[in-house]
Amino acid sequence: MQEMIGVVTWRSSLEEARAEAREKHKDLLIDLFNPG
Amino acid sequence: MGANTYPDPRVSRFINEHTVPVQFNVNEDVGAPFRFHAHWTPAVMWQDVEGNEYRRSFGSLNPDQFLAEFALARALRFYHGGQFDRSVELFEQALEHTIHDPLRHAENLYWIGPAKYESSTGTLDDLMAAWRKLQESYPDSDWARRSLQLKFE
Repeated sequence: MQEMIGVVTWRSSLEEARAEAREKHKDLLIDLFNPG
Repeated sequence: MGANTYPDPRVSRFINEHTVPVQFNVNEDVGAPFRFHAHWTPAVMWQDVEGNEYRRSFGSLNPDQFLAEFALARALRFYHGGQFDRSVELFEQALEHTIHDPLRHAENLYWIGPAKYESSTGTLDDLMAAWRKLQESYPDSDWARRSLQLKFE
């Protein structure tokens, strides 16, 4: 997945994000939010 | 944070460079606060791919606060993973982001002590020097008080 400068492309599946992170040798940033 | 913090190019660059970001709307995914043991939002957690969490933050952070949190998180990840030399580098780099943030700068100065002490060339003098700097800079901080608990026979 190509990341754009100034844009955070949030994933919605923890499992898929974890697999992607493993492949890219990255960690996970998990954000829980309430849009109000 | 979605309106002001994440769109900041410094923030998005940091996130994209070091992590794969995952987001859960707790209004739609009502189980998320239970799964993550996080019932206040915004909640931000940093994990390795094994699910080991190495930092979490509650409450809104502006871009500078977020960058400082992130910089400390990265350094702590390597420290607690036993990669002390790398953690020294990252705690030193984190100073750039924590310098104007007394809360996190004090924490940053605290952790430079253990990181240097545990590093391949570290000595007790490194720990004490780092903590003296902390105690001089933020004498009333919680971190300075923690550093004063260390006693030697």
